[in-house]
Amino acid sequence: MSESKAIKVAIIGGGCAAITAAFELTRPEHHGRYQVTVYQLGWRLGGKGASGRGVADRIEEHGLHLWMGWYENAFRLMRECYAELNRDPRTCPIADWRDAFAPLQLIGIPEKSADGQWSLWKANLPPTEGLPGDPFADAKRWSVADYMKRSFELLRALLQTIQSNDAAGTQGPAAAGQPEPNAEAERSPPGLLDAISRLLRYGELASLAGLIQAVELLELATGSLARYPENVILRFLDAIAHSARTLLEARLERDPAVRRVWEVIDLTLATLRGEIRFGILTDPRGFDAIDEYDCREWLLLNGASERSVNSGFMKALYDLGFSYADGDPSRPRIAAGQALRATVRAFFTYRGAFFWTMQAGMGDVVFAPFYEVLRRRGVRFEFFHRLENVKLATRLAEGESPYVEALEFDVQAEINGGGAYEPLVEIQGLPCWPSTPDYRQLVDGERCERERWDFESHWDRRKLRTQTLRVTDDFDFVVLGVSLGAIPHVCKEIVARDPRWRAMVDHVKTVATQAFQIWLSADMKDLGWTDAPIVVCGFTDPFDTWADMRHLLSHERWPQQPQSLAYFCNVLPEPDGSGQRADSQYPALLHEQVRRSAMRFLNRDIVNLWPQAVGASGAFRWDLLVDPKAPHGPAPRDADAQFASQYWRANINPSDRYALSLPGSSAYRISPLDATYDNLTIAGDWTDCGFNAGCVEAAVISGRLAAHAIAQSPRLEDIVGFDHP
Amino acid sequence: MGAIKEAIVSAGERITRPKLERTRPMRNWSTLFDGPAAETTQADSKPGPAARQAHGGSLNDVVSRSVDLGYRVVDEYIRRGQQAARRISERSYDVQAITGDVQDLGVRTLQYASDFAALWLDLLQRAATDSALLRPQAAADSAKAPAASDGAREHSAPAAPGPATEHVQPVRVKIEVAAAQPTEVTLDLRPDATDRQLIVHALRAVDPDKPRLSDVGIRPGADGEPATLWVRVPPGQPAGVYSGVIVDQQSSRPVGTLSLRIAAQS
Repeated sequence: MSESKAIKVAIIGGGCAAITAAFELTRPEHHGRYQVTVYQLGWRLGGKGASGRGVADRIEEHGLHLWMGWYENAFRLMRECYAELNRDPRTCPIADWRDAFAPLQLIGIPEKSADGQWSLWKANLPPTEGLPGDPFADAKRWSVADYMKRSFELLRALLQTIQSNDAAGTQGPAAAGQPEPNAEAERSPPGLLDAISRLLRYGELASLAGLIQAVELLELATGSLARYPENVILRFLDAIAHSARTLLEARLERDPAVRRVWEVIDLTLATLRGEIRFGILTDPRGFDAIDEYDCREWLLLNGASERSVNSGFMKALYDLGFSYADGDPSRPRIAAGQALRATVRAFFTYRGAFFWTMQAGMGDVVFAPFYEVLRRRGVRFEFFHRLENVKLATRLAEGESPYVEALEFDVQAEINGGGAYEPLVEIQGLPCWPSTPDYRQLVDGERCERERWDFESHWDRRKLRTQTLRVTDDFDFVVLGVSLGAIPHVCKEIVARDPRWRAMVDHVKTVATQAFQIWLSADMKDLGWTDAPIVVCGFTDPFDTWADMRHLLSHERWPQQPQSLAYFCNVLPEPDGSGQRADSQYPALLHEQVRRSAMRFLNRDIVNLWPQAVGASGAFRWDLLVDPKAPHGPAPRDADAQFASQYWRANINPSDRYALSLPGSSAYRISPLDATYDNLTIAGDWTDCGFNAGCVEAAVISGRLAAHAIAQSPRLEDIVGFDHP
Repeated sequence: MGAIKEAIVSAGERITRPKLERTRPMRNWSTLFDGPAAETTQADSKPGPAARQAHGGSLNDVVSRSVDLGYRVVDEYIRRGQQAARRISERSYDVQAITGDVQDLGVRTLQYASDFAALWLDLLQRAATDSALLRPQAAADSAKAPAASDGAREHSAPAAPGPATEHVQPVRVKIEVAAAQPTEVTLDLRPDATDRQLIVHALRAVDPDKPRLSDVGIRPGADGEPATLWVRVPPGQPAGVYSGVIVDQQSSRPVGTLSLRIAAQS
């Protein structure tokens, strides 16, 4: 190193990816090598994960955020952050990461019968060993063969579930006069082939016991799958699928429990068949090899039934990722490879619990701790800076790569006294983000408040001045951590000049989402829900996801304490035509659309989850809603007035849009490691980060890759799941 | 942390990002072949005693020859995987060389799989449905085995299963190929599939940059005529192996595979 001057890194955005990059670049082991400044529009960090505290200090989120037990990178960084923060548990209710996250085991998948009746499949996914973010004993690698083995184990367990409930089941091959399988002999290729042909020859697959033994043989085979000709395994799978279908088909209509298990069996068999048929075991692209297909389409190609691919289970999977093209619930689309990758990671690699719920708002639990740690490490935060343009150099020296010459910002507000904006407020000992900026800190803040400046809205372009940062003077490297939806607006030059960026914004799509939260005066039992707190996915449009969030009530301060709290969310179909979206009234229009949708949903659909939440007329009991501004209890009011006291939002800002994994789109993503622009990297769940789907973990992986692009740290091998089929 | 290729330049000049050793994730093969520790020797992968029977005309002989051929494929597969794994464990992250190795392996494996697909289907189908066929067979059965080792050409789909004493009716498929380049077709179809409505999905190469072949289909025969598979290869189609699935339109179930090997235009 020829000079000890710190390298200036401008990080644009304050979501998971951007904050991760900042966290990585400012680790103590870098010894202050990188001077990081985070530029954020508005008053709070978080991006799509931002939350605020509103009236009654109630938590107001963009939607429902759940962390999953396989988010190894996200949890690892979160745990390191809390450890470094070292909060005093005597004064802060969320001092440790275990205070911040709690396991959630109960998941509900609703299904509607042909006669319109809803039933709920409640799955209690068992806890597993360890905790997410725990270090692995050795370098963690997963292979397609590993997942296939796990799939066979799952298949066997599901068949055994049915067998144990089946009084007429046989006890195994001994019942047919066959010798017990010799596992050692059957591990050798000739031995396995003999065992397969024996099972087929003697019609052993006509019984559940035979099927279970057949699956056991395949489990043995997957240990060294390369040694068996693929078509042998394929034909055997076909035979198993055919026999299982024949055995169980008669029971599917009359036994919903068997039907649900069968649907998972059918989907698992189709997945296994497809993994072999499409050569994923040996394809260097791993699951990417089938990303041209939609997941349902691919499963059908590999023999899954229409019933199974349209099951509640599949709908829930699509819902989890908002996987609907243009937000249209009639167009579910997700790249098969990415869907498969997500499913195997979610079901086969989760640690502790399948889901982890946050014990306060995501802003409080995630972004406030990161903000505090990063401030301590010397990171500068420039709030109220809205990026307008990433300017490329127009003249390049010979052999010089393209680079970012300047960053152009609108400065939305100035801070009184010229100091740093202090964004957090303390609520019951917990540092939190408010739902509106602290106008008292802002120059001319009263006017901004009176004129209702919406600092986070794409449609409110008001500003105090502009600011241009120049390469070398103000920054050396740029980490572009904005959302994909913002790229066409802030990277016009790059998109115009670079065909790959143009293709990316054309093919990698985003979708708007909608959400609402209601606080109720009755507890869940009184509403008719008698189970433990749950997350329900795959319910009905327009709000197909419900989460019981009663655990958050203790962090809010209500004059009249609500007894229950519910979050709902889904994709938001938008009107056609970009002209309408450019209209300044568009946000108000969509806000009203969400309000009407929410009220219609409560009137028409909530009864299927909360049977006691409706009155004698069948309409929702609006008097259940608790108004934070009516401390003496509800006065008689109409439904609109009652609902107006609750919280809802249309997430339509470009920076709030959710990135999709449509079939064929992954090929157009660009990696943070891409070095086309030699002082720029990108970070976000919309990048080509190895797990190409919208989620916290993808954002964190991407942020770590962005840091690696600049500092070659963390090592790629240490980014869990980056090297993965 | 390893050697860092620093790019810090003196003050006043622009700093650029360091050159990275690796920019892509390692997907399947580096975890499937776990470096030198997972090496299997030629001796390990030789077929077991069941396959080393006296050569003759029995079905067991066919099985043993096919197993032998199959293990030669697997040996090649493992050898190339070991090569690639050795590169990784030597930390030789030359993406071009590794990508070339793996793609080459992929192309060859696909071709071998296509070549042997029909033979294996036939064998297992017989074993599954007729125990009498596991007894020694006439010499006529052994005549099918050499065809596979020549590399599959057009051939009839395997015969439907039945008792050994029945006369097995071969399935006939007409194949129409329109191509300016030499093109080899391998069709693997279940014997009971030809009288159904079939869909052939677009054929794809291992290399995702090669355009798909979508002008391909099967129409059932009328009045006792065989079904016809047609393929049109556009001029300038890159050389390579293209494969796809054949699906029964009614049940949505796969009933076979089709692969084309297109040679370079001379």
